[in-house]
Amino acid sequence: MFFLNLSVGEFLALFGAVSGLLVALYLLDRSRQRVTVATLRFWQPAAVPTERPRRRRHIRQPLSLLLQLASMALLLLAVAQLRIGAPTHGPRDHVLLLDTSAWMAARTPAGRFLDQAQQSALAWLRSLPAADRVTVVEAASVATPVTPFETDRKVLEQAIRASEPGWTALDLAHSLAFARRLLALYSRNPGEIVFAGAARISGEPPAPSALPSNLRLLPVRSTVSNCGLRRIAVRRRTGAAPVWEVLVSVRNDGPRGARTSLGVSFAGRPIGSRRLSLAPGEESEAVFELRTRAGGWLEARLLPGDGFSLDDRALVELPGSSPVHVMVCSDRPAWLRPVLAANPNVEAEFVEARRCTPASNAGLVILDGVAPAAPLTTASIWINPDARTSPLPVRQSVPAADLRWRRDQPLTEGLRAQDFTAATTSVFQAGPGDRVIAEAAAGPVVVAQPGPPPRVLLGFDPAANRLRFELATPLLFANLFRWLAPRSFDQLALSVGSPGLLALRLDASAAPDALRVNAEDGTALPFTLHEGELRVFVGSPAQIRIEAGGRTLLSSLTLPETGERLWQPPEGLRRGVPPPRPENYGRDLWKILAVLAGAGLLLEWIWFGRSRAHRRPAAAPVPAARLRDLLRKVS
Amino acid sequence: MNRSPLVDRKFLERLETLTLRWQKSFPGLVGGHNPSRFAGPGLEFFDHRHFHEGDDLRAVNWRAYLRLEKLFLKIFHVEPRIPVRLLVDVSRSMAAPDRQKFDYARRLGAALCYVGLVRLETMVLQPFSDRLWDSLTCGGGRHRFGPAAEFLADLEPEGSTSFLNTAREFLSRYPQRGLLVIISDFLDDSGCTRPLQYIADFGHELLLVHVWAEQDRTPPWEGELELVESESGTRMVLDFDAGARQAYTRAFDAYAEELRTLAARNQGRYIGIPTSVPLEEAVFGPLTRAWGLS
Repeated sequence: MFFLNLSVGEFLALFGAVSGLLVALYLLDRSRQRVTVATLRFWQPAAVPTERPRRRRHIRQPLSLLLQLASMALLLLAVAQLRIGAPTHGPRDHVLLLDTSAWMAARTPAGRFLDQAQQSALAWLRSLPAADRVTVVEAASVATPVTPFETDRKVLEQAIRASEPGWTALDLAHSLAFARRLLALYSRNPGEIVFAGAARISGEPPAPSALPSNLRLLPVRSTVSNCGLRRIAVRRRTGAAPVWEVLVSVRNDGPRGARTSLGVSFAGRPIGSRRLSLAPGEESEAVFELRTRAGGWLEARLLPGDGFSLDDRALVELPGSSPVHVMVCSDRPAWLRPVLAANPNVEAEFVEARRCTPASNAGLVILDGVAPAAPLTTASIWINPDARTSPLPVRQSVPAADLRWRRDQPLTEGLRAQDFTAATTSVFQAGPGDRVIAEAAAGPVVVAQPGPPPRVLLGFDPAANRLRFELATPLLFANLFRWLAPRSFDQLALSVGSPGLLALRLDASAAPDALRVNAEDGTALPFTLHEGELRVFVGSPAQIRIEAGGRTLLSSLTLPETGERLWQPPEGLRRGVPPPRPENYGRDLWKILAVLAGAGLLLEWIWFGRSRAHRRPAAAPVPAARLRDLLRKVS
Repeated sequence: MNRSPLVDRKFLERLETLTLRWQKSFPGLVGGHNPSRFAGPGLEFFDHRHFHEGDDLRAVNWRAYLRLEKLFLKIFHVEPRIPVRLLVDVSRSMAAPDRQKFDYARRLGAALCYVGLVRLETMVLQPFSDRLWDSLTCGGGRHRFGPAAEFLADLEPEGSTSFLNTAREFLSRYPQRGLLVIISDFLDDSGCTRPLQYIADFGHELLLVHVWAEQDRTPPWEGELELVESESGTRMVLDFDAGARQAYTRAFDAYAEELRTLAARNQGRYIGIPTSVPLEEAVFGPLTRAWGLS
């Protein structure tokens, strides 16, 4: 005979407290009442001669007290779950780790790996005694409990059957640690940690010494051939705007060498294919070139199919690219051609000065000593404008001047040239809000106006003096282009990878304030930035957009993370479904005890309670003196 | 201190339709609204009698003299101003175990006083316990009700009940016969029937208003009780159960019946009112039915 819920000490302490309270209430109810009445004359005929001995003044109706005490004892025994029998051990609490990593979606003729794991888990569950509690935890890159510790087998079986493979790889060490903590924190009698799955893991396997001693494995026959896409990276080739470089990474996860065919197509048209021979565990990369300015879907596909089809195909959407249209109004375009041709995102149009009518689609207009026929609505660069048509008043024109760059302006970034001398220079009258880029002793000679529309005025002719051969000239124009037409310097990269932790090394110049990480629907995603590395965790397939300064990364996290290796468990671990264990936890008596307790209380009420219903008026106060007397009696 | 009034204005407005009634005829001054069988100066014809010397010639029935040649004198009803005396029990038993009976008696006294004042009666408010305490006489209309209500509100339970002393003092202090309304629980260890009989024998009309709390008639307790009498402090220990409760109630009812018999025997009235009955219901119910009010 033993208690399931309480220890003997706890039961005795509880019963003692309840009994004390019961006796106190009993004495309070049965003790002599002191009543002040208007007269005693009517009480005389009503007085019943008492023949009770004096000692019964304190304990009247002892059978009532005994019945109440016995009923309370039975009730507490029911709460403590008194059982008859000699238990070998009590009901235990188990943690079932069900592998729901992406690899569990792999399919064999017998079905998915997860189906095998579910069958094993259900068989193990049925082998347990009914009183054992189990919690089901889905194990992937993070461990997620699906049920609390539960004895209801229907709930547990439903949770097992409802589990589906995720998209991340299994972190076994983390899952085992989580199971240990569950048992330590919430279990009354720790049982087993049962792992059911293929155990294809990412990262380092847990050390044998770190494995829990109560670990049981329900292994899955996970031998399947698989060559899968691991990563796709797409970026523009430097210096050639319409050319994309497509890098596709393929890995053989199967136990044997494999030959596979990798095909890449864009907008339904094949752009290349490779035949790959991969040894077990080998990863190979193939580079393709795509020349297009149009947008569309880029698809990579492995043929023939294998047991794990989720990583045999990947799609990424390439955005269309349109260059910045730069209109140059100049009668001597030769010196500007190299500057404009250096940027593949710039499409230059050269127009004679006398025909200078800026087009509506121009993103930037360069006016070389001329003025437009109509006011400009786009960004512009004015080179040595005439004093009469200059948008900024020309204070004076100096024949030769020593010019000096203003280092505090972002537009002079990278200009390491020494100060130089210009032949004939216009000195502008800068207004409030204007930025002075370079200046002479007489005043500003290069001025930037934020606009709108933004424009930059150069008070000298860069092609007419020594500056034409300086490195500072293309750098200056690059800076002006970056400021006036930022799209011309956008760097776009695309990638296809697996959900999970995404790490991206940023340029040192990337300002943390300018970082943006957004999901496909535009919602901001949380990220961390540590020592120049941006980290984002995405638990399910998603498209994310990362913007860092002028660099944009579109990442499609739609490839399953299959893990790097199969875990080889050490010898000596318990494996498989154990034989059904007979439940020897004793016969449960709490229902009988509860019924008996209720019957006892009912009998007490029938015999004694009904007559007490009118015993004392509801509003009758308990005098303090009576209470003191009662406490004295009790003590 | 701002006290709540004993009776509210709405109740007072309802009381204005009532009149205090008595059954006996009392000699007295002209006034009031109760007919008297006593002859005397008045307006309403009552009877004839033979003329005697010294009679008022204005009352001679000259028509009868012309026809019969005998002098007959017309006599009229006297409309006496009979004092109405309200004896309110303020003994400690009225306040036991709480002040239910005491408060009820004061409110009932105020209501009856207002009824009398409205009908231009002369009202005497006389508290008593083991003796008569200071009284208040008021009359002349409803506007005199304020001091009367204040007088009743200022009363406090005091002393033990002695109807014998009270009767003795009453008879010596109020020789003029009249209506005597006694509001009390009539709990006097030495008995109250004999003193009440004395008062009735002196010609006063008794209107006994017996006020009791529910627990005075049906004690709710059960088990071993230590009883303390509120006035004398006498203790008594007994076991009390349902059977004893029935015996108690029988004794109480027998006592009330004794009071009723006493009142009826002396042409008076007895009205028993438990405090659980609302005052308004008591005034327009038992008091009106017993012809104490109309």
